[in-house]
Amino acid sequence: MKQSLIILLTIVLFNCGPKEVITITGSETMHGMAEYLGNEFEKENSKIKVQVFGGGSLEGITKLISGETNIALSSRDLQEKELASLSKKGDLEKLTIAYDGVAIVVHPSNPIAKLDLKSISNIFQGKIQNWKQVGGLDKPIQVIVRNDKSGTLSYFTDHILKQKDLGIKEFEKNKNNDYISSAKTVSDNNDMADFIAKNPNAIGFMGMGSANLENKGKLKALSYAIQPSDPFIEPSIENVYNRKYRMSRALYMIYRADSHEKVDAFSSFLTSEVGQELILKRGYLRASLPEVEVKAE
Amino acid sequence: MTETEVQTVQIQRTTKQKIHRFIERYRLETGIALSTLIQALVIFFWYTPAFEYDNLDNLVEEVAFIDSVSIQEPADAQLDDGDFELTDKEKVEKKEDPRIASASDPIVSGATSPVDLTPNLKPEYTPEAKSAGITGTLTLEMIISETGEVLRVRSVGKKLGSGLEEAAISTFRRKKFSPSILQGKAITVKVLVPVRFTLN
Repeated sequence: MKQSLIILLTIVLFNCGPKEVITITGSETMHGMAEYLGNEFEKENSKIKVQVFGGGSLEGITKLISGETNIALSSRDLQEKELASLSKKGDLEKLTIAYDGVAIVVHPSNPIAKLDLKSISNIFQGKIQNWKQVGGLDKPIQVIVRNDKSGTLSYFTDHILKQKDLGIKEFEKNKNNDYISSAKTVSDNNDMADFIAKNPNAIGFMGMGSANLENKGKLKALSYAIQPSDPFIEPSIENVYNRKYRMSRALYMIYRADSHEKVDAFSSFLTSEVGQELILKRGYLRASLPEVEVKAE
Repeated sequence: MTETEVQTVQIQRTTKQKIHRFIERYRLETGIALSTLIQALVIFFWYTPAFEYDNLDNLVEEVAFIDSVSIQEPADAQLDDGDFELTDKEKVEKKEDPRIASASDPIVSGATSPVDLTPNLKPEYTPEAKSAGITGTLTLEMIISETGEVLRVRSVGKKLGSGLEEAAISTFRRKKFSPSILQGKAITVKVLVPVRFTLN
Protein backbone atom coordinates (compact mmCIF):
# COMPACT_ATOMS: atom_id res chain seq x y z
CA MET A 1 0.00 0.00 0.00
CA LYS A 2 2.73 2.41 1.08
CA GLN A 3 4.84 1.48 -1.93
CA SER A 4 2.02 2.22 -4.39
CA LEU A 5 1.41 5.52 -2.62
CA ILE A 6 5.06 6.47 -3.07
CA ILE A 7 4.97 5.56 -6.78
CA LEU A 8 1.76 7.57 -7.24
CA LEU A 9 3.19 10.59 -5.43
CA THR A 10 6.37 10.43 -7.48
CA ILE A 11 4.38 10.32 -10.74
CA VAL A 12 2.15 13.20 -9.60
CA LEU A 13 5.11 15.32 -8.52
CA PHE A 14 6.97 14.70 -11.77
CA ASN A 15 3.94 15.71 -13.80
CA CYS A 16 3.60 18.94 -11.85
CA GLY A 17 6.53 20.42 -13.80
CA PRO A 18 6.12 23.66 -15.78
CA LYS A 19 3.95 23.45 -18.92
CA GLU A 20 4.85 24.98 -22.26
CA VAL A 21 2.56 27.87 -23.11
CA ILE A 22 1.12 28.90 -26.49
CA THR A 23 -0.21 32.45 -26.50
CA ILE A 24 -2.90 33.35 -29.01
CA THR A 25 -4.10 36.94 -29.46
CA GLY A 26 -6.50 38.69 -31.78
CA SER A 27 -9.92 38.44 -33.38
CA GLU A 28 -12.89 38.72 -31.03
CA THR A 29 -14.92 36.77 -33.60
CA MET A 30 -12.54 33.85 -33.20
CA HIS A 31 -12.04 34.21 -29.43
CA GLY A 32 -14.64 31.68 -28.27
CA MET A 33 -13.67 29.21 -31.00
CA ALA A 34 -9.95 29.54 -30.12
CA GLU A 35 -10.60 28.93 -26.40
CA TYR A 36 -12.65 25.86 -27.23
CA LEU A 37 -10.00 24.51 -29.62
CA GLY A 38 -7.26 25.33 -27.08
CA ASN A 39 -9.03 23.25 -24.41
CA GLU A 40 -9.44 20.33 -26.80
CA PHE A 41 -5.76 20.57 -27.83
CA GLU A 42 -4.68 20.57 -24.16
CA LYS A 43 -6.58 17.30 -23.62
CA GLU A 44 -4.35 15.61 -26.20
CA ASN A 45 -1.19 17.52 -25.20
CA SER A 46 -1.11 17.61 -21.41
CA LYS A 47 2.26 19.40 -21.29
CA ILE A 48 1.06 22.40 -23.30
CA LYS A 49 -1.16 25.21 -22.05
CA VAL A 50 -3.03 27.41 -24.54
CA GLN A 51 -3.75 30.99 -23.45
CA VAL A 52 -6.18 32.98 -25.60
CA PHE A 53 -6.47 36.77 -25.51
CA GLY A 54 -8.91 38.90 -27.54
CA GLY A 55 -8.61 42.57 -28.36
CA GLY A 56 -9.35 42.34 -32.08
CA SER A 57 -7.44 41.32 -35.21
CA LEU A 58 -5.20 44.42 -35.13
CA GLU A 59 -4.19 43.65 -31.54
CA GLY A 60 -3.15 40.13 -32.56
CA ILE A 61 -1.15 41.29 -35.57
CA THR A 62 0.54 44.08 -33.57
CA LYS A 63 1.55 41.64 -30.82
CA LEU A 64 2.86 39.14 -33.38
CA ILE A 65 5.01 41.87 -34.91
CA SER A 66 6.38 42.82 -31.48
CA GLY A 67 6.92 39.16 -30.56
CA GLU A 68 4.46 39.27 -27.65
CA THR A 69 2.30 36.43 -28.93
CA ASN A 70 2.95 33.10 -30.66
CA ILE A 71 -0.12 33.23 -32.89
CA ALA A 72 -2.27 36.08 -34.20
CA LEU A 73 -5.90 35.39 -35.05
CA SER A 74 -7.38 37.65 -37.69
CA SER A 75 -10.79 37.91 -39.32
CA ARG A 76 -9.31 40.01 -42.11
CA ASP A 77 -6.33 39.61 -44.43
CA LEU A 78 -2.99 41.26 -43.63
CA GLN A 79 -2.46 44.78 -44.90
CA GLU A 80 0.66 45.52 -46.96
CA LYS A 81 2.40 47.40 -44.14
CA GLU A 82 1.69 44.60 -41.66
CA LEU A 83 2.95 41.99 -44.11
CA ALA A 84 6.15 44.00 -44.65
CA SER A 85 6.74 44.36 -40.88
CA LEU A 86 6.15 40.67 -40.26
CA SER A 87 8.25 39.55 -43.23
CA LYS A 88 11.23 41.47 -41.84
CA LYS A 89 11.20 39.15 -38.82
CA GLY A 90 11.41 35.97 -40.91
CA ASP A 91 9.19 33.62 -42.88
CA LEU A 92 5.52 33.93 -42.18
CA GLU A 93 2.74 31.34 -42.13
CA LYS A 94 -0.83 32.47 -42.78
CA LEU A 95 -3.39 29.67 -42.78
CA THR A 96 -7.13 29.88 -43.38
CA ILE A 97 -8.59 27.75 -40.60
CA ALA A 98 -12.30 28.53 -41.05
CA TYR A 99 -14.88 30.65 -42.83
CA ASP A 100 -17.51 32.82 -41.26
CA GLY A 101 -20.40 34.94 -42.38
CA VAL A 102 -20.90 38.45 -41.02
CA ALA A 103 -24.42 38.80 -39.63
CA ILE A 104 -26.41 42.03 -39.38
CA VAL A 105 -28.01 41.88 -35.93
CA VAL A 106 -30.97 43.64 -34.32
CA HIS A 107 -33.14 43.20 -31.19
CA PRO A 108 -35.33 40.05 -31.38
CA SER A 109 -38.46 42.26 -31.05
CA ASN A 110 -37.56 44.29 -34.16
CA PRO A 111 -40.04 43.37 -36.95
CA ILE A 112 -37.40 43.92 -39.67
CA ALA A 113 -36.28 40.54 -41.07
CA LYS A 114 -34.13 41.45 -44.09
CA LEU A 115 -31.98 44.24 -45.52
CA ASP A 116 -30.04 44.73 -48.74
CA LEU A 117 -26.47 46.04 -49.02
CA LYS A 118 -27.33 49.64 -49.97
CA SER A 119 -29.92 49.99 -47.17
CA ILE A 120 -27.42 48.70 -44.61
CA SER A 121 -24.75 51.10 -45.90
CA ASN A 122 -27.20 54.02 -45.68
CA ILE A 123 -28.24 53.06 -42.14
CA PHE A 124 -24.65 52.91 -40.89
CA GLN A 125 -23.81 56.23 -42.62
CA GLY A 126 -26.88 57.90 -41.08
CA LYS A 127 -28.62 58.53 -44.42
CA ILE A 128 -31.46 56.36 -43.07
CA GLN A 129 -32.16 57.19 -39.43
CA ASN A 130 -35.64 55.75 -38.81
CA TRP A 131 -36.74 52.10 -39.04
CA LYS A 132 -39.89 53.31 -40.85
CA GLN A 133 -37.73 54.14 -43.94
CA VAL A 134 -36.90 50.43 -44.39
CA GLY A 135 -40.38 49.09 -43.57
CA GLY A 136 -40.09 48.95 -39.78
CA LEU A 137 -41.60 50.82 -36.83
CA ASP A 138 -41.47 54.60 -36.51
CA LYS A 139 -38.45 54.50 -34.22
CA PRO A 140 -35.00 56.14 -34.44
CA ILE A 141 -32.18 53.77 -35.41
CA GLN A 142 -29.24 53.40 -33.00
CA VAL A 143 -26.12 52.28 -34.84
CA ILE A 144 -23.51 50.27 -32.95
CA VAL A 145 -20.05 49.38 -34.33
CA ARG A 146 -16.88 47.63 -33.16
CA ASN A 147 -13.70 49.57 -32.35
CA ASP A 148 -10.97 50.09 -34.96
CA LYS A 149 -8.98 47.02 -33.84
CA SER A 150 -11.73 44.78 -35.16
CA GLY A 151 -11.19 42.71 -38.31
CA THR A 152 -14.97 42.47 -38.67
CA LEU A 153 -15.20 46.28 -38.70
CA SER A 154 -12.50 46.41 -41.37
CA TYR A 155 -14.38 43.87 -43.52
CA PHE A 156 -17.74 45.59 -42.98
CA THR A 157 -16.34 49.04 -43.76
CA ASP A 158 -14.93 47.98 -47.13
CA HIS A 159 -17.52 45.50 -48.33
CA ILE A 160 -20.76 47.02 -47.00
CA LEU A 161 -20.30 50.65 -45.87
CA LYS A 162 -18.14 51.53 -48.91
CA GLN A 163 -20.10 49.07 -51.07
CA LYS A 164 -17.17 47.07 -52.48
CA ASP A 165 -19.49 44.10 -53.03
CA LEU A 166 -21.45 46.18 -55.58
CA GLY A 167 -18.35 46.34 -57.81
CA ILE A 168 -15.23 48.45 -58.20
CA LYS A 169 -17.09 51.41 -59.69
CA GLU A 170 -19.44 51.68 -56.69
CA PHE A 171 -16.49 51.16 -54.32
CA GLU A 172 -14.60 54.07 -55.95
CA LYS A 173 -17.72 56.24 -55.76
CA ASN A 174 -18.35 55.42 -52.08
CA LYS A 175 -14.79 55.14 -50.75
CA ASN A 176 -15.25 58.20 -48.52
CA ASN A 177 -18.36 56.83 -46.80
CA ASP A 178 -18.10 57.05 -43.02
CA TYR A 179 -20.09 55.90 -40.02
CA ILE A 180 -22.74 58.21 -38.50
CA SER A 181 -21.09 60.26 -35.74
CA SER A 182 -23.64 59.12 -33.14
CA ALA A 183 -22.67 55.45 -33.67
CA LYS A 184 -21.82 53.75 -30.39
CA THR A 185 -18.48 51.92 -30.36
CA VAL A 186 -17.90 48.71 -28.38
CA SER A 187 -14.80 46.57 -27.93
CA ASP A 188 -16.21 43.08 -28.40
CA ASN A 189 -19.18 41.02 -29.57
CA ASN A 190 -20.52 40.38 -26.08
CA ASP A 191 -20.69 44.13 -25.39
CA MET A 192 -22.48 44.60 -28.71
CA ALA A 193 -24.97 41.82 -27.91
CA ASP A 194 -25.62 43.23 -24.42
CA PHE A 195 -26.17 46.73 -25.82
CA ILE A 196 -28.63 45.50 -28.47
CA ALA A 197 -30.45 43.35 -25.89
CA LYS A 198 -31.12 46.55 -23.89
CA ASN A 199 -31.87 48.78 -26.90
CA PRO A 200 -34.69 47.49 -29.14
CA ASN A 201 -33.89 50.09 -31.85
CA ALA A 202 -30.21 49.21 -32.20
CA ILE A 203 -28.47 47.60 -35.18
CA GLY A 204 -24.96 46.15 -35.33
CA PHE A 205 -22.90 43.39 -36.98
CA MET A 206 -20.77 40.49 -35.83
CA GLY A 207 -19.45 37.11 -36.92
CA MET A 208 -22.20 34.61 -37.69
CA GLY A 209 -20.86 32.13 -35.12
CA SER A 210 -20.99 34.79 -32.38
CA ALA A 211 -24.52 35.83 -33.40
CA ASN A 212 -26.04 32.39 -33.86
CA LEU A 213 -24.35 30.43 -31.08
CA GLU A 214 -22.52 32.54 -28.49
CA ASN A 215 -25.27 35.20 -28.23
CA LYS A 216 -28.23 33.07 -29.23
CA GLY A 217 -31.52 34.49 -27.92
CA LYS A 218 -30.15 37.99 -27.32
CA LEU A 219 -30.12 38.93 -31.01
CA LYS A 220 -31.87 38.42 -34.32
CA ALA A 221 -29.68 37.93 -37.42
CA LEU A 222 -31.20 39.46 -40.56
CA SER A 223 -31.44 37.90 -44.01
CA TYR A 224 -29.29 39.65 -46.57
CA ALA A 225 -29.02 40.26 -50.32
CA ILE A 226 -26.54 42.32 -52.32
CA GLN A 227 -29.28 43.68 -54.62
CA PRO A 228 -32.87 44.27 -53.43
CA SER A 229 -34.04 42.10 -56.35
CA ASP A 230 -31.85 39.13 -55.24
CA PRO A 231 -33.24 36.43 -52.94
CA PHE A 232 -32.65 37.35 -49.27
CA ILE A 233 -30.59 34.67 -47.54
CA GLU A 234 -30.26 34.04 -43.82
CA PRO A 235 -26.74 33.70 -42.36
CA SER A 236 -25.97 30.01 -41.72
CA ILE A 237 -23.09 27.59 -42.26
CA GLU A 238 -24.98 25.89 -45.10
CA ASN A 239 -25.63 29.19 -46.87
CA VAL A 240 -22.00 30.29 -46.57
CA TYR A 241 -20.89 26.85 -47.82
CA ASN A 242 -23.20 26.89 -50.85
CA ARG A 243 -22.09 30.50 -51.56
CA LYS A 244 -25.64 31.86 -51.26
CA TYR A 245 -24.93 34.10 -48.25
CA ARG A 246 -22.47 36.58 -49.75
CA MET A 247 -21.30 38.46 -46.66
CA SER A 248 -18.56 35.93 -45.79
CA ARG A 249 -14.84 36.00 -45.10
CA ALA A 250 -11.90 33.77 -44.19
CA LEU A 251 -10.57 33.46 -40.63
CA TYR A 252 -6.79 33.25 -40.39
CA MET A 253 -4.14 32.08 -37.97
CA ILE A 254 -0.82 33.83 -38.55
CA TYR A 255 2.51 32.87 -37.02
CA ARG A 256 6.20 32.82 -37.75
CA ALA A 257 7.27 29.78 -39.73
CA ASP A 258 10.33 29.38 -37.49
CA SER A 259 8.17 29.21 -34.36
CA HIS A 260 8.53 26.51 -31.75
CA GLU A 261 7.26 23.00 -32.53
CA LYS A 262 4.34 23.53 -30.14
CA VAL A 263 2.92 26.17 -32.52
CA ASP A 264 3.32 23.84 -35.51
CA ALA A 265 1.58 21.10 -33.53
CA PHE A 266 -1.33 23.45 -32.74
CA SER A 267 -1.67 24.60 -36.36
CA SER A 268 -1.68 20.97 -37.55
CA PHE A 269 -4.35 20.19 -34.98
CA LEU A 270 -6.57 23.02 -36.28
CA THR A 271 -6.22 22.01 -39.95
CA SER A 272 -6.66 18.27 -39.23
CA GLU A 273 -10.00 16.49 -39.61
CA VAL A 274 -10.47 16.51 -35.80
CA GLY A 275 -9.81 20.27 -35.56
CA GLN A 276 -12.00 21.07 -38.54
CA GLU A 277 -14.90 19.06 -37.08
CA LEU A 278 -14.54 20.99 -33.81
CA ILE A 279 -14.59 24.27 -35.79
CA LEU A 280 -17.82 23.18 -37.46
CA LYS A 281 -19.28 22.36 -34.02
CA ARG A 282 -18.62 25.96 -32.97
CA GLY A 283 -20.73 27.30 -35.85
CA TYR A 284 -17.99 28.08 -38.40
CA LEU A 285 -17.39 26.60 -41.82
CA ARG A 286 -14.39 24.29 -42.19
CA ALA A 287 -11.52 25.40 -44.41
CA SER A 288 -9.53 22.21 -45.13
CA LEU A 289 -10.57 19.76 -47.83
CA PRO A 290 -11.58 16.30 -46.49
CA GLU A 291 -8.74 14.33 -44.93
CA VAL A 292 -6.80 11.83 -47.05
CA GLU A 293 -5.95 8.68 -45.11
CA VAL A 294 -2.82 6.69 -45.87
CA LYS A 295 -2.59 3.21 -44.34
CA ALA A 296 0.62 1.20 -44.27
CA GLU A 297 0.23 -2.07 -46.17
CA MET B 1 36.39 -16.21 17.95
CA THR B 2 37.46 -14.00 20.87
CA GLU B 3 34.96 -12.08 23.02
CA THR B 4 36.04 -8.72 21.47
CA GLU B 5 35.43 -9.99 17.89
CA VAL B 6 31.96 -11.25 18.85
CA GLN B 7 31.17 -7.80 20.29
CA THR B 8 32.32 -6.02 17.04
CA VAL B 9 30.07 -8.26 14.86
CA GLN B 10 27.19 -7.58 17.21
CA ILE B 11 27.78 -3.80 16.95
CA GLN B 12 27.97 -3.97 13.10
CA ARG B 13 24.75 -5.98 12.91
CA THR B 14 23.05 -3.57 15.24
CA THR B 15 23.96 -0.57 12.99
CA LYS B 16 22.64 -2.32 9.86
CA GLN B 17 19.55 -3.32 11.71
CA LYS B 18 19.08 0.25 12.88
CA ILE B 19 19.21 1.56 9.29
CA HIS B 20 16.92 -1.21 8.14
CA ARG B 21 14.49 -0.45 10.96
CA PHE B 22 14.56 3.26 10.18
CA ILE B 23 13.70 2.62 6.51
CA GLU B 24 11.02 0.13 7.52
CA ARG B 25 9.48 2.58 9.95
CA TYR B 26 9.72 5.67 7.71
CA ARG B 27 9.27 4.06 4.29
CA LEU B 28 6.81 6.69 2.98
CA GLU B 29 8.88 9.62 4.21
CA THR B 30 12.09 8.13 2.81
CA GLY B 31 10.42 7.60 -0.56
CA ILE B 32 9.11 11.18 -0.71
CA ALA B 33 12.50 12.56 0.35
CA LEU B 34 14.29 10.59 -2.39
CA SER B 35 11.67 11.62 -4.99
CA THR B 36 11.95 15.30 -3.96
CA LEU B 37 15.74 15.12 -4.16
CA ILE B 38 15.60 13.67 -7.70
CA GLN B 39 13.08 16.33 -8.80
CA ALA B 40 15.14 19.11 -7.24
CA LEU B 41 18.18 17.87 -9.18
CA VAL B 42 16.18 17.68 -12.43
CA ILE B 43 14.73 21.18 -11.95
CA PHE B 44 18.15 22.55 -10.95
CA PHE B 45 19.81 21.27 -14.12
CA TRP B 46 16.77 22.27 -16.23
CA TYR B 47 16.79 25.87 -15.06
CA THR B 48 20.49 26.46 -14.76
CA PRO B 49 21.01 29.55 -16.92
CA ALA B 50 23.55 29.36 -19.71
CA PHE B 51 26.80 31.00 -18.76
CA GLU B 52 27.42 34.10 -20.79
CA TYR B 53 30.75 34.30 -22.46
CA ASP B 54 32.95 37.20 -21.82
CA ASN B 55 32.23 39.74 -24.57
CA LEU B 56 35.89 40.71 -24.62
CA ASP B 57 36.85 37.13 -25.52
CA ASN B 58 34.35 37.19 -28.38
CA LEU B 59 35.75 40.49 -29.60
CA VAL B 60 39.29 39.11 -29.59
CA GLU B 61 38.13 36.07 -31.59
CA GLU B 62 36.24 38.28 -34.07
CA VAL B 63 39.22 40.57 -34.59
CA ALA B 64 41.49 37.57 -35.07
CA PHE B 65 39.04 36.14 -37.63
CA ILE B 66 38.60 39.42 -39.53
CA ASP B 67 42.39 39.94 -39.60
CA SER B 68 42.82 36.61 -41.35
CA VAL B 69 40.18 37.35 -44.01
CA SER B 70 41.21 39.10 -47.18
CA ILE B 71 38.44 40.68 -49.24
CA GLN B 72 38.88 40.51 -52.98
CA GLU B 73 36.81 42.51 -55.42
CA PRO B 74 35.41 40.31 -58.18
CA ALA B 75 36.90 41.04 -61.58
CA ASP B 76 33.52 41.85 -63.12
CA ALA B 77 32.23 43.84 -60.12
CA GLN B 78 29.55 46.33 -61.09
CA LEU B 79 28.06 49.18 -59.14
CA ASP B 80 24.53 48.33 -58.02
CA ASP B 81 21.66 50.53 -56.92
CA GLY B 82 22.13 49.67 -53.27
CA ASP B 83 19.55 46.85 -53.20
CA PHE B 84 20.28 43.76 -51.14
CA GLU B 85 21.08 40.53 -52.94
CA LEU B 86 18.13 38.18 -53.23
CA THR B 87 18.28 35.09 -51.04
CA ASP B 88 18.00 31.66 -52.71
CA LYS B 89 14.43 31.33 -51.42
CA GLU B 90 13.46 34.69 -52.89
CA LYS B 91 15.04 33.70 -56.20
CA VAL B 92 12.93 30.52 -56.26
CA GLU B 93 9.78 32.52 -55.47
CA LYS B 94 10.61 34.97 -58.25
CA LYS B 95 10.70 32.10 -60.71
CA GLU B 96 7.35 30.72 -59.54
CA ASP B 97 4.29 30.71 -61.74
CA PRO B 98 2.61 34.14 -61.45
CA ARG B 99 -0.76 32.40 -60.93
CA ILE B 100 0.45 31.24 -57.49
CA ALA B 101 0.56 34.75 -56.08
CA SER B 102 -2.92 35.56 -57.39
CA ALA B 103 -4.57 32.33 -56.13
CA SER B 104 -8.04 33.02 -54.67
CA ASP B 105 -9.91 31.52 -51.80
CA PRO B 106 -12.78 29.43 -53.26
CA ILE B 107 -15.30 30.15 -50.49
CA VAL B 108 -14.62 33.88 -50.11
CA SER B 109 -14.58 34.48 -53.85
CA GLY B 110 -17.82 32.52 -54.21
CA ALA B 111 -16.24 29.91 -56.50
CA THR B 112 -16.89 26.16 -56.40
CA SER B 113 -14.40 23.95 -54.56
CA PRO B 114 -11.89 21.97 -56.67
CA VAL B 115 -12.66 18.24 -56.92
CA ASP B 116 -9.92 15.59 -56.80
CA LEU B 117 -10.13 13.56 -60.01
CA THR B 118 -7.40 11.14 -58.87
CA PRO B 119 -8.59 10.05 -55.39
CA ASN B 120 -6.80 6.71 -55.67
CA LEU B 121 -3.46 8.40 -56.13
CA LYS B 122 -2.23 8.44 -52.52
CA PRO B 123 1.22 8.82 -50.98
CA GLU B 124 2.95 5.69 -49.74
CA TYR B 125 4.49 5.08 -46.37
CA THR B 126 8.26 5.27 -46.56
CA PRO B 127 10.12 2.16 -45.23
CA GLU B 128 11.90 4.41 -42.67
CA ALA B 129 8.59 5.79 -41.33
CA LYS B 130 7.09 2.30 -41.23
CA SER B 131 10.00 0.78 -39.32
CA ALA B 132 10.11 3.77 -36.95
CA GLY B 133 6.36 3.40 -36.32
CA ILE B 134 5.61 7.00 -37.26
CA THR B 135 1.92 7.94 -37.45
CA GLY B 136 0.08 11.27 -37.49
CA THR B 137 -1.37 13.99 -39.67
CA LEU B 138 0.46 16.48 -41.84
CA THR B 139 -1.15 19.36 -43.72
CA LEU B 140 -0.44 20.26 -47.32
CA GLU B 141 -1.14 23.64 -48.90
CA MET B 142 -1.92 23.26 -52.61
CA ILE B 143 -2.33 25.80 -55.38
CA ILE B 144 -4.66 24.40 -58.06
CA SER B 145 -4.69 26.18 -61.40
CA GLU B 146 -7.62 27.04 -63.66
CA THR B 147 -6.69 23.97 -65.73
CA GLY B 148 -6.85 21.68 -62.68
CA GLU B 149 -3.10 21.07 -62.47
CA VAL B 150 -1.29 21.43 -59.16
CA LEU B 151 1.06 24.41 -59.36
CA ARG B 152 2.61 24.16 -55.91
CA VAL B 153 2.46 21.88 -52.87
CA ARG B 154 4.11 22.55 -49.54
CA SER B 155 3.84 21.12 -46.07
CA VAL B 156 2.65 23.46 -43.31
CA GLY B 157 2.60 22.94 -39.53
CA LYS B 158 3.98 19.93 -37.72
CA LYS B 159 6.44 17.69 -39.58
CA LEU B 160 6.23 13.91 -39.26
CA GLY B 161 9.67 13.27 -40.74
CA SER B 162 11.19 10.04 -42.14
CA GLY B 163 10.41 11.17 -45.69
CA LEU B 164 6.61 11.34 -45.23
CA GLU B 165 6.41 15.06 -46.17
CA GLU B 166 8.43 14.46 -49.34
CA ALA B 167 6.31 11.41 -50.24
CA ALA B 168 3.06 13.37 -49.76
CA ILE B 169 4.30 16.44 -51.68
CA SER B 170 5.53 14.46 -54.70
CA THR B 171 2.25 12.49 -54.88
CA PHE B 172 -0.05 15.51 -54.57
CA ARG B 173 2.03 17.36 -57.15
CA ARG B 174 0.93 14.69 -59.69
CA LYS B 175 -2.80 14.92 -58.86
CA LYS B 176 -5.45 16.31 -61.23
CA PHE B 177 -8.44 18.35 -60.13
CA SER B 178 -11.55 19.77 -61.72
CA PRO B 179 -10.89 23.50 -61.22
CA SER B 180 -12.82 25.99 -59.11
CA ILE B 181 -15.44 27.82 -61.14
CA LEU B 182 -16.42 31.43 -60.48
CA GLN B 183 -19.30 32.84 -62.52
CA GLY B 184 -18.69 30.28 -65.26
CA LYS B 185 -14.93 30.88 -65.39
CA ALA B 186 -12.21 28.57 -64.03
CA ILE B 187 -9.87 30.22 -61.51
CA THR B 188 -6.68 29.38 -59.59
CA VAL B 189 -7.28 28.63 -55.89
CA LYS B 190 -5.37 27.78 -52.72
CA VAL B 191 -6.57 24.91 -50.47
CA LEU B 192 -5.39 22.94 -47.44
CA VAL B 193 -5.48 19.12 -47.29
CA PRO B 194 -4.79 17.09 -44.14
CA VAL B 195 -3.07 13.76 -44.82
CA ARG B 196 -3.24 11.16 -42.04
CA PHE B 197 -0.71 8.33 -41.91
CA THR B 198 -1.79 5.26 -39.94
CA LEU B 199 -0.17 1.89 -39.24
CA ASN B 200 -2.20 -1.29 -38.87
